[in-house]
Amino acid sequence: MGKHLFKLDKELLDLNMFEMDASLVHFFQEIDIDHAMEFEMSNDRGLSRKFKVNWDDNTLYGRGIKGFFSPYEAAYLLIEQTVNGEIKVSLPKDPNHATVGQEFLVGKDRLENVISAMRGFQQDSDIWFQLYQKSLEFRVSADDDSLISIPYIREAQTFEYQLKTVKAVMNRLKGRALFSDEVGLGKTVEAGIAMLEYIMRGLVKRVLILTPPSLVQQWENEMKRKFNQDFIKADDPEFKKREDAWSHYNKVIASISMAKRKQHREAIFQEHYDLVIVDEAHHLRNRNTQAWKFVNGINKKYIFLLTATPVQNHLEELYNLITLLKPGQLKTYSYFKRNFIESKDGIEAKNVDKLKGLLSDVMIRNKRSNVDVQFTKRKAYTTIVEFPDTAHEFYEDISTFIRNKYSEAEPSITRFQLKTLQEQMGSTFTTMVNTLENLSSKDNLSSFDQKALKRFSERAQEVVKKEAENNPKVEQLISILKNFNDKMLVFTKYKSTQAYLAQLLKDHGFKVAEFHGGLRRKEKEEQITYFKEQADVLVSTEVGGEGRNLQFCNGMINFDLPWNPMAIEQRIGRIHRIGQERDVFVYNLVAKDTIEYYILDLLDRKINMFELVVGEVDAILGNIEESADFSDLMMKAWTESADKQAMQKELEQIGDKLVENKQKLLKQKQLDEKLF
Amino acid sequence: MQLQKFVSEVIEGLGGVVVPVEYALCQVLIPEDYQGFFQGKSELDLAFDFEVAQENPQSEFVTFGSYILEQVLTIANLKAVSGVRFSELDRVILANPLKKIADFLSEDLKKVTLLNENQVMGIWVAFEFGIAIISDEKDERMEQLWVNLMTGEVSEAMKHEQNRIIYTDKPVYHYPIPKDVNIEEAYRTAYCHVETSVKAEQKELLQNERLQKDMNRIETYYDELLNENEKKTNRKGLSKEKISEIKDKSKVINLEKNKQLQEIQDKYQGKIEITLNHGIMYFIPMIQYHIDIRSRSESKTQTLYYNLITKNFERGE
Repeated sequence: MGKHLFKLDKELLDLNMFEMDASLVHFFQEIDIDHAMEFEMSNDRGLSRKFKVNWDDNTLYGRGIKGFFSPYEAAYLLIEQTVNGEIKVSLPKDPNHATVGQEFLVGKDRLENVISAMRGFQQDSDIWFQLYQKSLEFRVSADDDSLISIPYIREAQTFEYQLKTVKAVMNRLKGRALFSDEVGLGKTVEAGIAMLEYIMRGLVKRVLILTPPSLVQQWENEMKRKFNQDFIKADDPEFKKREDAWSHYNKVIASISMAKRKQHREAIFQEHYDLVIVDEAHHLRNRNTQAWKFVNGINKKYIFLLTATPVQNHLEELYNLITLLKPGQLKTYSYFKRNFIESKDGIEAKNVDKLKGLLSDVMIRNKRSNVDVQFTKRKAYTTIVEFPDTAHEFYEDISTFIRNKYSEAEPSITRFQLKTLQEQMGSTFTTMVNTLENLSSKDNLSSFDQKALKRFSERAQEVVKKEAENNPKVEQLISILKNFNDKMLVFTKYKSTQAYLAQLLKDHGFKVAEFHGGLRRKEKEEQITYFKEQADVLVSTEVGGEGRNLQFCNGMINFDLPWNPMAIEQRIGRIHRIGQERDVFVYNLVAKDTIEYYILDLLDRKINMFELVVGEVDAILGNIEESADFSDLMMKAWTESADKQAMQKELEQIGDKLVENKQKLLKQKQLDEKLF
Repeated sequence: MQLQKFVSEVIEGLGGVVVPVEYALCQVLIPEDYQGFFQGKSELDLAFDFEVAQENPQSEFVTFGSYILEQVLTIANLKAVSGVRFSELDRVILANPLKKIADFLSEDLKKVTLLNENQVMGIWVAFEFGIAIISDEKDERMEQLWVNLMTGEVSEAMKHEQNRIIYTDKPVYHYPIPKDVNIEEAYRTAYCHVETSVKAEQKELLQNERLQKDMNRIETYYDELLNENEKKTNRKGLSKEKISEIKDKSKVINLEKNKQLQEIQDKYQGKIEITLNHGIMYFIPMIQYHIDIRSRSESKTQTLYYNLITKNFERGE
């Protein structure tokens, strides 16, 4: 008659009773067990007992009933009446895994668990099976053509061409790719999505990102902000203090110049990375350099090279990058030269169609003209103001003091502090009061310096008293705001200037939203919403708001000017990015004869920086920052020049280099048109 | 915040407590039995957004690839071990069975005699396997294999029709189970089925044109490099040191070639890993028919089962 499944309910066993479920009731009814009729039951543990059924309360009872059922750790048991009338309780047969062919099986303990749980009809809550299904959504993609990471990208708008790029990198290029989009199309986002996709699919755990020194911080921020990925910088004190740092940390960002140094290189070569990302990969254009050999020597599964300019001076550079990704793709260099390089200067290509075909196996290049993304224009206006006499004298005197101190062999005030002081003056004098106060009380200063700084501090306070009604930059700021007739973003480097300007503008009747690094995330959201819906102006520091969507605004004022062009570019990038539908207006406020005045002159007059295409600043800066940060170059020129003429000459040289780079960029664009 | 919801549900499923504090931040209490998964901690602040994590430095940042999420995913996998589900059906009858059986068997109706029919309890086991072919091109997927314990066969049809099964966690019908319940046998059938299909995939991978193309690329490239290098030794007037230098370079090129070839073979020679993640038993009533089929002077008895989910017959012994 077959077996019946019944629930093993041990609750009444201490009372020598067993409560029958409907199935067991049905079974005993089927075999005609009468009330109080004694019958024999056996189980597959070799026990045999005599029991009776109490039909009044549907229980089974009899001596030894506890011992009969208690050995079973199961949710259900099977019962049957055999052909010879015996009533038998059992569980499914004991497993005998030795007979199971399991050449590829891993997790044998798990197998034992599952099979033995199933033998006992173990009934785990359905919620666990639902959660298991959900967990698969975070781990395994349904198919190669869908990206599971997209819902988890924050603060970044993704475009179809970017998703196509990521899919191509993963499916067609198998994770070894040259991301070569034109500037401004979001190579970092594409690389980040591909990285997150690999992480979520469980294919990548260890990631090494190599960038130029000036971009390490930016990459760290982007990875956190957009992809919720926590990387450690190789120059972080936490990283530095560990001897086993390279093996200990799974996600590291390092400058390539630092990583290739002997002590790091050797440690890195001991590791195996699932993914290596190299930003500004054109620095690997020469295969005889340490950098190229270093990246080539890293043990890696996937590698992404990112550059908008795979060819700068010579097609050999392209050859070297491709060979790094896929040796032999372009065969030997002599073959490549013979077949694909037309001119002696190496910048003209032949057999372009064949070359394009070979490149498409390893390289993806989206161009503005090919994707549905257009950038609006930028227009920049600079207003030069003149400090009132007292402020001007004060600026000159402090600058002289800074110059003298900056050149000291054993500085009592660090160069960083001096540079900060100089930068603060370019914002508002209010900002520097505290700095002067703090510096004047430094113990290691001579009494002369202490007195001088004390005096400066007093003079600063006098200037500050008049700053509210007598600051020509503030007057211009208000004038621009009144004339612009639309929402405006005002940028400053300093929190104190930010607070000062916000209050001042409120006093002038403007509705002011505020944004700075001290706000909590929720407050930041509230301020952005307030700006979008009601306020006239958002007064912001540079910190923490990079990802916020501000494209509804198309005007910005640089109340003070960062000394590094990339920082200026990042400010402009807050409103001039994909998604901005109107032309963007940039207003710069600067006081005559200040360091900012000269920087602005250099960037605006020489390379017309404020109206460049998105992303081009980076290309124009090129190798200028190889030795030092741009702002340090400015400070050096400012402090080391004997007079203004000498300084202008020094800046002029930097400017010439920028112009040269800009011309090179134009030439690259021409090759680009032909080749890609 | 799908991720936060998932993590919270797992922790609550364990009997833990999750207290939302603010956007993307919650405090959790971990039950003692599971503290080992969380470095022995009983209380944790979990942040699901990096900015929130920065504002709350005491919190653990939970994101893809983070330790906490890996642990939670492990738990979600470990806790789903075995399920038992009982189907509910509209009715367990079949009209005109004899005609339908004859149609199914493509036999003349007159030759088939219905000896008896019974309602019985059918059992299917759905095994969930994790299958990975591990190489650079690692392919990982889950595969469910349904095995019919009555026939001992893999049932693709039930896998496809599983959404039609309405089930509950308690028995609904009390029909007898006509065969032995042999979980191990069912597992063996399922495993063999999975193994066969994965081996075929692996074989296909190794015969892949792409591998041949990649190997040719590497061999040609390094052979040409080697030729170019060795041509240099033909130059006149080379010093011994120079010749030795060229020879050393040839050795390096060969080493690099072998390394690249090995890498590419490893990449395609995927290592197969199969894991059994869990199994779920489905108790679904079937109708069992014993029939007799006459053919000339002979007659043959046969057992058929009518599957009320797929609306089709399956052959018994």
